[in-house]
Amino acid sequence: MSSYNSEYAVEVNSITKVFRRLSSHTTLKKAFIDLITFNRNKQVKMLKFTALKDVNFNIKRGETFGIIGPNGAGKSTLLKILCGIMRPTSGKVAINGSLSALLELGTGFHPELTGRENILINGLILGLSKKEIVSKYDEIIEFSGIKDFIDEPIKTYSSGMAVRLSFSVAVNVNPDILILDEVLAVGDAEFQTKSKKRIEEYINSGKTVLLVSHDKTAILNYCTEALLLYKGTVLTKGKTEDVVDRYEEVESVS
Amino acid sequence: MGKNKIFEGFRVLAKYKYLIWILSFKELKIQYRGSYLGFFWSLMNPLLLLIIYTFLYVIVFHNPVKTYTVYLFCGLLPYSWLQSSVIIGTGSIAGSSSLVSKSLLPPEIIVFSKVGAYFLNFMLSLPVLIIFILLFKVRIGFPLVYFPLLAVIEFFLTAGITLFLSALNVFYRDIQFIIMNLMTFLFFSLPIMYFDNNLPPKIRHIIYLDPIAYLMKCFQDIFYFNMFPRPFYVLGVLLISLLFYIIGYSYFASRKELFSEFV
Ligand SMILES: Nc1ncnc2c1ncn2[C@@H]1O[C@H](COP(=O)(O)OP(=O)(O)O)[C@@H](O)[C@H]1O
Ligand SMILES: [Mg+2]
Repeated sequence: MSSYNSEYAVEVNSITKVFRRLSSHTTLKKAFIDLITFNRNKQVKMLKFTALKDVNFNIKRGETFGIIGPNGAGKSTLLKILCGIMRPTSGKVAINGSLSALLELGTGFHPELTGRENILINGLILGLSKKEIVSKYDEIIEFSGIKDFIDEPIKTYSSGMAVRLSFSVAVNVNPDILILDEVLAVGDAEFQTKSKKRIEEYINSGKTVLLVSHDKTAILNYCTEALLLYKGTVLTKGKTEDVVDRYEEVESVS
Repeated sequence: MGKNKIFEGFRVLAKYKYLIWILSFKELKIQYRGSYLGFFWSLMNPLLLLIIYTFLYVIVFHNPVKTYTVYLFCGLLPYSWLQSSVIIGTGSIAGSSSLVSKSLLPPEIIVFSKVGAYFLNFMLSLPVLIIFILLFKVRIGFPLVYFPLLAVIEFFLTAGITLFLSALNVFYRDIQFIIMNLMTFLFFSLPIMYFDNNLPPKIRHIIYLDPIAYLMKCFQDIFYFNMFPRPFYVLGVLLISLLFYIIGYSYFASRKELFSEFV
């Protein structure tokens, strides 16, 4: 599916996502009753909700791409599909290269394990060897600024601390493509400056970044290209300034 | 394409073997964190069962088999590995919502790490079994060379069952409760607390319709009867366990991108 010679790092081809939520809590009993009664009025109802409608875009290698849109627009859903955590109802995605992601407040850690153990596990998931990860421990821990807590279980961390650590892991494992979901607003001013610098270094080394936010300034600061997602559809895409202008229009109407 | 899918489950194991190994260790560590006796708690349950069944079998029913306790232990340990993995593993995907919906960890790794943790538990209790074997002067020897193969068979069998059930349990949470009860039933259907030759032939044929019964029998052969399991049976159980694994993994893989929506 992925081809390394493509000019694009990410290719998204008419993605549609329909959530089929089971009505109340589904139980075997209800499913069984449905099965044996042939009743039209099924107890297990599927509520449908279209979160993404025919979304198309490509991200070039080495580009910093922004996705902007109000809460509930479908941004996080789109990212999960890109990461392969969620399956689109229809459409195709191609990711050309290794990928690291910080999804929705970056709590994809094992809560019972320590910060250090989670660094190891995250590195292994991304295909690094143990040696490579161990050689990066100091850098990652230093950057996260939570040295004193690194051998405590993640469940004792505040959400800010967890995000700092996962950000630190995500940028330091050096993937080809980095996906960040609403993370730049987290952390104190000092951490934000540090993150900004790190992302800039990262961008300058020719890697691809996908930044997602409902906040205009973050997108304007980093991205050259962007798209506006609104109620699951792409309203516009192109130069960041134009996209942000359109976002302001949409915001003022609603 | 179809052929690729069949071997996908084995490829994932090979690719993430180190991660699975680490997580299995951590899983074990988590289980006993903060308890003074740690791992020895996991021996308490089999030891208590040993006392109860020995009492029943030897004292209440006046059975003359002197080494009954050892016989029981030989089946109980591999059975505990299977039982604990299946019961805990079935709920493991539904119970790890943040890992399943917010990390790039392939969800099957969560299931493998449960099966792996109970495998380590099993390995840690083997020295205790050996002590029992020596105390009761049961003879053991060369048939033990079959042990690694039997462990591999049990791993695939257990992983296949657990993968299947854990995926199903995401959509139907009743599964984990059903399984808990079925496992008790399964235990009594296996020749672990009784000898299969005490059964009427008809019933004996029925219990051996279950591949798990064969597997337990093989473990008893090597640890208790000091004899080589019949190669024909071992091969049969091996093939069945691989089949279970392929089916279980395929079902899991076909559903795994839906987990994040339902956990
Ligand atoms: N697992 C789910 N089941 C049903 N609906 C969902 C699920 N996840 C998200 N949604 C819905 O999809 C829409 C988009 O959500 P999301 O992608 O989180 O938006 P954003 O990140 O842009 O704020 C929301 O209306 C949300 O309620
Ligand atoms: Mg979001």
